[in-house]
Amino acid sequence: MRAVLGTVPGGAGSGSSAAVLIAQGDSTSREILEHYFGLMPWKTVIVSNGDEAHQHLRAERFDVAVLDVNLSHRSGFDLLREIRDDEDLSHTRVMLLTEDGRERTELKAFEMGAADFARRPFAPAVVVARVKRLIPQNESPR
Amino acid sequence: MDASGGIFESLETGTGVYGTVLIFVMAEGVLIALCACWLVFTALAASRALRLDDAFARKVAPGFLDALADEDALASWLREARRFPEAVQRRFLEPRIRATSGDLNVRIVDAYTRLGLRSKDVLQAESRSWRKRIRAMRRLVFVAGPQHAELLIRRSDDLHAVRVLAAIALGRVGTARQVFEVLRRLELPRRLMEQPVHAMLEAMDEERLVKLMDLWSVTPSATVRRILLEVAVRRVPWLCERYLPLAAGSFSTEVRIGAARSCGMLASASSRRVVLRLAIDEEPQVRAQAARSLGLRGDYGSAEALAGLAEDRDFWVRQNAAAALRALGDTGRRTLETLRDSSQDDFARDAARQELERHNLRVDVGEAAS
Repeated sequence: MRAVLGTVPGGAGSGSSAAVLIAQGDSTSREILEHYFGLMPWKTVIVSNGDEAHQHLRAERFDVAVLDVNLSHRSGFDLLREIRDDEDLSHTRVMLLTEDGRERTELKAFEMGAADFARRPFAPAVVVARVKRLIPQNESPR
Repeated sequence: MDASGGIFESLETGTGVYGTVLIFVMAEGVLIALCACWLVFTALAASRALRLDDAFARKVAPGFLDALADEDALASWLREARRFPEAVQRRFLEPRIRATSGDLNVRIVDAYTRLGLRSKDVLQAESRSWRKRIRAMRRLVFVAGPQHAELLIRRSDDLHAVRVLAAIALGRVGTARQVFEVLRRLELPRRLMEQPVHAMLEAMDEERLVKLMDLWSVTPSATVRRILLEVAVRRVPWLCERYLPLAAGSFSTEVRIGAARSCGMLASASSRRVVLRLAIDEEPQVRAQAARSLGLRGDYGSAEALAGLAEDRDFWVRQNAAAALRALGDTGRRTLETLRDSSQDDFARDAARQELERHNLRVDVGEAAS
């Protein structure tokens, strides 16, 4: 097994059929999250802009979406609104991960129905742990 | 005499208008040639940097995150990384340091230090060139350790940009006493100069902020005491209750303004007593902030005090009191209507009417949108 920093306790084996969409505009964040989420038994899709995220959300079923607020084409808030307004997508829980750490941005995120909010710079192991908490425990096989 | 004859004649003698024009044209030609050389040179340098970054990304970068968890793997990774120029190492590590926090960040900063990059930043931070100092301080904000606190204190007397960066770094790594030493020397005659203090205090963790607040009453600058109180009330509200009566009784208007603003962030009975006391302060700026805080607290029992402030002789006190009443919901609205219809004070009637109109407009817009 690969040695890793900050492995989430009890990560493997729980929610093993879960699917997570990560949409981050910043390539460094994408690379780090890809590494850490790759260690979990989840299907992880990583995209770099709002349009790609939108296409994946329409095409596949995701349990959790980790969205950047400042995505190109469609912002994280636009995607969050679409997810909340569309019954087919409303099962997806949204975590916003952003550099914009202002209080009003966080407040807006929760008012719009985000399940969690995290700021950059981030501790990737903590982000994984928070996403794990958002994944339904009795995940049915896909 | 024809023109061509004139030019040749000027060239032969080396004097006259045509000769001067020719010298200018030649100088321009040389300048253009130099620019072209510079463009070619920078294009080649950029292309080389791209090639090196690409090679680093292919050969060295992929094993980085795995290597951080294992000492031998990290040593081997550092050996590979050292084969590339310092600029390439920096371009790879710096965004990763900025993007992360916690344990991973500590490991990446360790790799940065072992490559010798932090020592170079420390040297550059004392450079005579302000460009180099700013560049170094931008990095030290993220990679400085407690051992660099003395350097950061020295840099807190530098140019404004360096000062801001030094303050942020010191807030992150300095002890409460070291931060106090910088704050003690500060004079802030203008609001625009407050930014480094805010930056430093915001970068401090809760434990050190509590220790710094122990030195609050001996901080010489009233402006710094106000800022300290305002930052602390958001971060450690329980602690500020102790300082509010002291601040409210201060001779300094700045400190009383800080106390009035801070009361808006608290909900305790003792802070309510303080804000009501500040609502009858002799300085209009303090009363205006107290009125604002009464609205932020959302305390329905404050409607009467706010009605009194809405009849204040100062414009901003009246405006803030009317806005605060509107924030109190139905109770505040009824008080505003009473003021509008039956106050003896023309200014109070105006303030209440304007606030009610603003409120109605927002309700109309909200209904139209829904």
